[in-house]
Amino acid sequence: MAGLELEAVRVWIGNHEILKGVDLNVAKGECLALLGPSGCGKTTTLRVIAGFTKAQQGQVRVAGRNVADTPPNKRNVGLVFQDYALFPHMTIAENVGYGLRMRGLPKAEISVRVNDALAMVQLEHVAARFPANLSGGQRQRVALARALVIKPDILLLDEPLGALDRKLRDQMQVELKQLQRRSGITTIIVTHDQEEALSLADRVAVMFNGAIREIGTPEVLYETPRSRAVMDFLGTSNIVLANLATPGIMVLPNGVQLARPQALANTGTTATLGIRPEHVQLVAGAASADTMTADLIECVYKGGLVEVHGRLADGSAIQINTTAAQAAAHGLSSQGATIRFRFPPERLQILAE
Amino acid sequence: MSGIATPMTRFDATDWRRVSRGLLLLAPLLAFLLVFYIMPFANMIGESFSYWSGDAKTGQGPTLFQYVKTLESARVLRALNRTFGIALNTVLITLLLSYPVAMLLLGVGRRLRTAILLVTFVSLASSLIIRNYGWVVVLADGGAVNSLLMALGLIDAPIRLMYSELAITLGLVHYAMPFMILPIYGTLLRLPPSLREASLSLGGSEWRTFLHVVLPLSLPGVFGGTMLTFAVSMSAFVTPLMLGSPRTAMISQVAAEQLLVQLNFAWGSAIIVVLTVITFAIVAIYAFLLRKVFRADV
Amino acid sequence: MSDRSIFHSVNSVIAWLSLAFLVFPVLLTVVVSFNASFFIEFPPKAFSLHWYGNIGKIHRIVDATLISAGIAIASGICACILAVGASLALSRSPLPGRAAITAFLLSPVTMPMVAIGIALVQFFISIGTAFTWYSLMIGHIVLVVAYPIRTLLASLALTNPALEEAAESLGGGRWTVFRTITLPQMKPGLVSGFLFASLISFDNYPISVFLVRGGITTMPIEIFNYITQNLDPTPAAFSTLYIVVISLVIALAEWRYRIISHTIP
Repeated sequence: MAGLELEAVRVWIGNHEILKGVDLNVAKGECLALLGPSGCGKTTTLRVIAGFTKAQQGQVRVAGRNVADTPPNKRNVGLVFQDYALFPHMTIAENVGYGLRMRGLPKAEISVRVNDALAMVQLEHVAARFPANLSGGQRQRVALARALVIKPDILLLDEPLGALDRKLRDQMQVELKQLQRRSGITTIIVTHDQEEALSLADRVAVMFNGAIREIGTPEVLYETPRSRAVMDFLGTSNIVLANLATPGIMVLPNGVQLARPQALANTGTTATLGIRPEHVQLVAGAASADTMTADLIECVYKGGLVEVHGRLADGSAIQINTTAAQAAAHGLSSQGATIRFRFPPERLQILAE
Repeated sequence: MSGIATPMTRFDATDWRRVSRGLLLLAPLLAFLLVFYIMPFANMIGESFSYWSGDAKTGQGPTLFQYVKTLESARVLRALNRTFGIALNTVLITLLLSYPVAMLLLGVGRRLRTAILLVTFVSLASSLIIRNYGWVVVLADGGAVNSLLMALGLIDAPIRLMYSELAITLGLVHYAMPFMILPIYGTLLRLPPSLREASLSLGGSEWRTFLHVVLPLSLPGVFGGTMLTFAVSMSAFVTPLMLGSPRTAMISQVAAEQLLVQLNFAWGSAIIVVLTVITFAIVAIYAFLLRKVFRADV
Repeated sequence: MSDRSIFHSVNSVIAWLSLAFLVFPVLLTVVVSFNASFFIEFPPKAFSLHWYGNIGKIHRIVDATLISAGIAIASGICACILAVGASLALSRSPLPGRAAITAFLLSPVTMPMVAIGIALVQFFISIGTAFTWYSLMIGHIVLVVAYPIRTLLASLALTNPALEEAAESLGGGRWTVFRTITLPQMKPGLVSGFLFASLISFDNYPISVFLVRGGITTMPIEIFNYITQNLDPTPAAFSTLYIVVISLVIALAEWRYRIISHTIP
């Protein structure tokens, strides 16, 4: 039985079509990230699943049940809000136990389950405190405990790590992933931060303009995206337009000719290609047919890696990520130096627009 | 100036300069209120501790005579009792009518909301005498209510609605509604909508969400509104004057009568002081209860 | 049907009934003002503008209205001037006991108006300036000064002191910074504060009735006297005019200065 199914979901707010036909199939226990820029409809999708926004067309099924006509308080979904939404006038224990109280469970059982939930996030010692006295990271864990303690059919997280500082974020990424695995609950994470999506989810669905553009595991989406929009969104990329006029080869803007891959055997006059900065190879020694050159603009040292920014003869930009040692070995230390590089053909992605 | 943050346990030069600048800005108003607010009141309190007005100046010692007289006067006690009863009724009714309006304001579109708020403000700004006159029109023997009841055949002759505690209460509720609607609306407005949604997602019904989340968190606004309504009702003067009768005199009227008609400044002042002290005491106890028992942030 | 509808439907019904309650007396007053009959009666059998013409017959109504208007505007202006300094001090300076000072400055609102009137008339008698226009104005200022303070504090709470610091670092003198940065941001608070102060002063009865005698009188006093001494609906005509004017003023202030959003506490 699937954890969540969305079928051709369309949502209008006023005259504005916010969701233009969303299809989604999430397995039970899977963690899926809805990733996209602001305004892409990911939050609306979350609210449709939770029941706060009604889908005018399409089906929504949680754990196999059609929930289109079920109000939010009957859907058994666990929501962790962006601002955590902890009730300021209740203690942490009362916050976590709220959902159980609403379900009419006996006090003794509520007490036990609240303690277990708080233990799961290592916060038993704050049970009697109020949300105002907790740090941001602690509040987030309480919000998680509160959502998990009711044993929901599906867990929804809205920008879970957005409000945390860098160090806390890295730490919570690991904890969140472990928690999700252990609880085995179907989880949907909504975020605009691609790093968050790639690190937390089993699969990522990238959304633009009210529809899912591509969906797949983080590796597949990052390494082999099929569209320019997704490649651009999931990290830095170098985009190149290739001329396909001559059969059998592709001609790049700087004149370099490469063998045409099978996939492009017959299509059109131009093709859009992309390659990640870390996959561009620096060339030392003798130049070969597919070596390209660019002028060095800047080397940005980022600790673990160095970003080499260059400009090609036709004015377009290139970025190559490499280690500090490699950059030095290729003489890329001063402005004006020449970068020599090639695109390994197996790393070139063919992109739809 | 050291770049290290110092704890605010002692002021440094910049702080003293800012404090002194602040005091300078505050001085004109404080001086004005000292002369025309504190001194007259101090004077009046002094009057209340004397046998006859002017005693304070002739050096006759302070006495509790007026206060004893107040507590022994059947008329004053009846008036106090009546005033307190009317004030309590007014607060309750105003709250029950105003809270739904505040909630309605949250749910309607911008145009309608502005229209309702405009009506509220115009009500607030209209002269009290004019508003009470409106109630005269409604409650008079030939007024709207009686005409309607007679037209419906429910009564044969007009019922006397005017010059009663009912009329006074209606007038006070009408006066106090804007004072109750606005603070509650303001507090509800500042509640993050995610709190309500969190309660719903956890299984709470709309009613239980209201009871457990919205209402407790709106208590600061409720407190502001009820406190104002109570204070205004306790000290009501114009409304009982216009809509009531000598039999329904509220405490402000009794005090005014002593001062204007009987020219007994001492006793009149004592009655006013008693009224003010009782009002403030009740408000203070109310705030304390809300803070301690309901954990409200008032 | 989801329970959201039931709960909110019940609430809406009560809310609309309450709003009807609020508006009802005013509407009826307007209707009565056009009633030809001398007595208040429903439904009106004939219509006439007679009572509007009769407004002039109210004892000294023109004088009283002008005096009330003058005192209202003057009190409003003075209250605002006094309030500007105080609210700036309260919101910008780290004064000790700020909450207590603010509570004190706002206390005239909850003080029985009769108390203020009586205390002041005794005071003015004792210093010999009772029953003059300026003692009346002083009484009104004491009552209304709390309103500009409240609205100005609300306005200032929305401002960012960093803006003033930025202006100073760019070389602005303290008066220039105040004039060009702080004052414009205080404008909504000033407008709504002035409006409230003036309206409350204009309408005031309990304080005025103790502080006036002889030459001076105010509109509420004359209207009140007319109502208690006459049965005809002339006051209804006056009320209708008054409410129309007030509504226009408030609608204008809201449209131009958005005062409503600034007075919601």
